[in-house]
Amino acid sequence: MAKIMLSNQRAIRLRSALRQGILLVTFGVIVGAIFNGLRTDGLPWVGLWSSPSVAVQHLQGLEDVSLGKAWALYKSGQALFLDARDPEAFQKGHLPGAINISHGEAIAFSEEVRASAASGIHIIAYCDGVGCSLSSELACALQEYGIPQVGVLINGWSLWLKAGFPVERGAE
Amino acid sequence: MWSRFMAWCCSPLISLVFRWALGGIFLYAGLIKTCDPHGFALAIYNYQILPGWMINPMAILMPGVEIMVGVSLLFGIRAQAGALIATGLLGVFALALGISLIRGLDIACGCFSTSSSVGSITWLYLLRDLILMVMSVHVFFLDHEIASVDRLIQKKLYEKVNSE
Repeated sequence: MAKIMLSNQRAIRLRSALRQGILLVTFGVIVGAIFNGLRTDGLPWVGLWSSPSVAVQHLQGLEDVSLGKAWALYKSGQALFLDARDPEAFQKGHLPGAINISHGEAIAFSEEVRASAASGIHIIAYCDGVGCSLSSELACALQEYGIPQVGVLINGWSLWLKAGFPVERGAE
Repeated sequence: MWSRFMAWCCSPLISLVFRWALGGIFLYAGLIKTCDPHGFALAIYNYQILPGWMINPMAILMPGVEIMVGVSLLFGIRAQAGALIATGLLGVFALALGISLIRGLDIACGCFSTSSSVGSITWLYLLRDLILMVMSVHVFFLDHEIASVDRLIQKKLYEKVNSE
């Protein structure tokens, strides 16, 4: 008898928590919608989320370097790749001759990159994934330090690897 | 020894610590995402799980739910319901993380930061998520409503009824 009463109590408690939980989620949904509505740069309810549209979002006017162009420049010795991924990913593998410039390190490498750019070398930043914005952020940071000719190879690491082009491993 | 450990595990103090910790974590995560809905939408997109039309509504609404769960747990307002929703959310996050790790995606978590420069997800992220889930289950079953608004309201009502 006591067992049945206890299980009934538990069921009532669970039902009550469920009801209140639904109410909590409803309030949360309203709060989220209000916050977004109050923002001047709020997110539209319907967004375009295809690979090209995400890539365009990241580029923000920067030069979009195709895989073919990057390969041609590399073959002719006119490309300097900047790997914007974290050092661990870089150690596992990177484009030939790439320099690993993690987030916030652009200033430390700006002179080296500037010297290469001045000698006619094409500077190409890359990271991994269409949604990865690190390469475009790096290109923007370098532009701020006065190096305007930085292109971006969107989804560079995956594309390069998929194409079967040569890669290097370990630190530079 | 075992019974002492169990008694310690089920103590009201542990439940309170878990509730406050979870409340703070959810409130922080919700506010961070509310401040940068574009970054959070991109983080959701990178998981490649949801269809495109669901990404923006999710990025707009989920932070609000996280904030409400955080407030509920932190202040003890319908904390059991808060713990229930927290468990559900953490379960969904764990599933998304697990799928992405198995698929070998090199993406940022989007858990406590919307920036893609915070490093890629690892199995430790999944472990952290599961620990938080255990904590929320603990709060759901064993919360004693210590230092909670609910308890305060109950006390006031009790006093009012007694005085009449």
